[in-house]
Amino acid sequence: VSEAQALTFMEMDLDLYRVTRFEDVQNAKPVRNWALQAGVTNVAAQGVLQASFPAGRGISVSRTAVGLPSMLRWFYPPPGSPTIRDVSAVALLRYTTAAPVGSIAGGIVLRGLQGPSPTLTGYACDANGTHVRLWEFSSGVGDLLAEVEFAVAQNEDVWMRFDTANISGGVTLRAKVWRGAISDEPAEFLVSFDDTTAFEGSGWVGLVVPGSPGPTVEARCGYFRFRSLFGSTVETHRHTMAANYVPIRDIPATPDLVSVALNPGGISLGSDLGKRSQLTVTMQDHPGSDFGEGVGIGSHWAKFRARGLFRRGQALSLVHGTLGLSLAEMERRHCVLESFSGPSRDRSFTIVAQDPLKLADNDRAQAPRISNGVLGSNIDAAAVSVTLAPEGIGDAEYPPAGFGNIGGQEIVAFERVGDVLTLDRGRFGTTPTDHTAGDRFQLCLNIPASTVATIINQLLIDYAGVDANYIPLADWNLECATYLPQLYSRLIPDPTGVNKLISELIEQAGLMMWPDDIAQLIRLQVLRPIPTTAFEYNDSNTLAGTIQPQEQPSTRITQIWTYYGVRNPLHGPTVPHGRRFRQ
Amino acid sequence: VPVVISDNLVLTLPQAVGDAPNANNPLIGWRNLVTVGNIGADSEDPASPGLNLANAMTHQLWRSVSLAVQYVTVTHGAVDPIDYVGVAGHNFGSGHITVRLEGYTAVDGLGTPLWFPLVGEFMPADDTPLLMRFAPQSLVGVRIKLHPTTVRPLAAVVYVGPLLVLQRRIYVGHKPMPFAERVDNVVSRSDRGHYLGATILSAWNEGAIQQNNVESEFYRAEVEPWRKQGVMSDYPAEVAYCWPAGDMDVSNQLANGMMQFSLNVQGIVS
Repeated sequence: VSEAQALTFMEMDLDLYRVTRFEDVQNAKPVRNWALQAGVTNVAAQGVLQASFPAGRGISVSRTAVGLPSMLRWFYPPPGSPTIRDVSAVALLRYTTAAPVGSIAGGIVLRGLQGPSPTLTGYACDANGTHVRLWEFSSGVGDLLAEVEFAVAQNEDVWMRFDTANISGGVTLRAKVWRGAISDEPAEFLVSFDDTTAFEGSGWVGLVVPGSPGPTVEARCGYFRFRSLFGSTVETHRHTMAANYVPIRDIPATPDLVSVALNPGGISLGSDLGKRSQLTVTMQDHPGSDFGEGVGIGSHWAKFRARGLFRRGQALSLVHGTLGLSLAEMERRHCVLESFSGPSRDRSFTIVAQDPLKLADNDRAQAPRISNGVLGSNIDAAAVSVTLAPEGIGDAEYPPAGFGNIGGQEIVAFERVGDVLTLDRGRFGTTPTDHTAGDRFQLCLNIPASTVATIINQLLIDYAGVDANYIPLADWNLECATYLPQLYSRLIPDPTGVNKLISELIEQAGLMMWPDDIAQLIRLQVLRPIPTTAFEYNDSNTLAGTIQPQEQPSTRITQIWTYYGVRNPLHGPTVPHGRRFRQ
Repeated sequence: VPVVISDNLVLTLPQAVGDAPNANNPLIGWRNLVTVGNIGADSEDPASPGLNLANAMTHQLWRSVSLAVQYVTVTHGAVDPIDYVGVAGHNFGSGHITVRLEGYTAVDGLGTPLWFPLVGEFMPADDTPLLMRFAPQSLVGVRIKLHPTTVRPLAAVVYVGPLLVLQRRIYVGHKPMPFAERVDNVVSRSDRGHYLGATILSAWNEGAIQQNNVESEFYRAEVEPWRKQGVMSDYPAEVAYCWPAGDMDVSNQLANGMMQFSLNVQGIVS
């Protein structure tokens, strides 16, 4: 009898993170993984010994004569792979010669790209001795975007952080420079700039060579790191349970996975969204390195924690298979990161992940979202116009027309121009009444007659932030068209938990929903008889001693009360006097 | 001319003038001169650089991206004699990659090292840890010449340094590491008694190094530093890359000062 050799992997998609202290650099020799991208004449980049740097060595970048703008790309990304967009970089810099007036000093370059030589694009930050400056390179020409005074002496070590991130309508740039240790980083940024005219794409990360287009100058770097922001560029970290047959050469993985506990979710038929499945993964901490460097500096999971790589909601996969299968052939369960703890005193590190419906929890997702506008003045019961405060809130948070809830007392229809609202008072069974300045004007969520598929899809995507790829809307629509050709409508006057709203629909419409963590989908089904073709579990194919029947007398229904016909949505769906009633 | 006395244990010369080649006593390669700053590979995948060879972790690999003749070079500059190079987690056997070990003590007028062979070309029979032993000598650097054919080389760990040759031989009852596999498995049965298959959850190699009648001076000079540092151990005929599975158990054994010790180890054998 042959035995299957079990393989278990855990994969996490985390923000890209790279760091080097130049530990392997040799004096006056080329530096591994740094490549000049343009203006390669009259430029040198080589290893240098510098006692004040963390590893006593670093990279020297210099211009030996007048030349074209030059940038050094660090090894990410390798040719052909995705570039990086939203990014934060930190470097330890030392200016051994002063940059000529008007030229760029050494510094950090982000979103670097090279077109036909010498065309360069990208953003750069430098410190020229008197100022910290932000640059935009376009077609090989550097334009100064912003600067702030900050004196840096020749042969002084300074730390520099430079960030870029896309914002609505452009790119925000910000930078800071400080002295001392890396841990002395100030909270405030020295200089920032919102670029709304140019480069919003992605590129590589590296150093800008000083002196362009000036003569001989040198800058040194003794520490360089960068990370992507907000998951804009992620890479997969894979861990495995240790065994001497794990094919690590073919499926690279860190064998530090100690245990995996998957508590399956519970499907609640016609009641609510059920119980969330939970995956608990425990790892053993161990020395960690960054591509060979930094083995003696912190352990793997301590670094993970310190680097802030954990982001709730990021993807995590549990992969089960047996030796001989490729990774693609193995069973893969998809979850989202929920929390972590450790490293603990016994050097264990625990990660908890859950199914994506966790994002709909009442304390995380509400529909409608809270509105921040308030009445700018008192109004009486007859008023048909009001101005919102604070100024500008109308365009920021409210649509041109809709329904509003004033102070939880009255529903109105409105049309908006700027901050000024034209009101149609006393809608949805409410009575026009006086309101005072400062009463909150809450935008209502008005759901017109729609199928449950449409409503739940809207709630999950627009208000819970569930990835649309999780929702097979065509399947949901077919299910509704076949088994539930019924439309539902509702006005939701106040922020209400998405889980609560969907659970009410599940109860009213007789549904069940569950996450299919293998297909990476959220399933929806109308309650109906089990087909005769369903797979049968019996005492021949279930593990001995694992089936345990349990009576559930508490779920037996003996009497049904039905509330219907909402009189006033402000009173809530479960308040008897807000609805008609039948027993 | 190398003397190959086991699949992957290569001896070249006696340890000292007048000594016969001796592979009978356990060889422990725990002293290591390799650092991130002194090792380099001619070719490397940026995601699996040659620097990975400098740490003891066997899951972090160096991967070459070339099929050309290439070198892994260690410029350690040590004055004290060294006599071994160990490589673990490699594919030189399964990849049919020819290996040769070279060293140098001097450079020419242009500063180019004058390399000479320490271990002649051979092709490992399999991927078990490789121990190349040569006469103790002072070297500025060593390099492993690799001649691939169709498979790009990879390796996890390289050790360079002086060997510890234990005083006593292996005793009867010793379980060689390659055969000391332990398995954690589950066998499944249904309610009705059907066999639902068996699954191996994990497997590993685990053994022990035991020495009796060890002279107290030898223990204090040679074994105690090893106990404090960790381990990469190799046995004649069965080479393994090991790490301690607990503390070394040391005690005085005889009235004449002889000592005994035992160390449980786990390791990889391929």
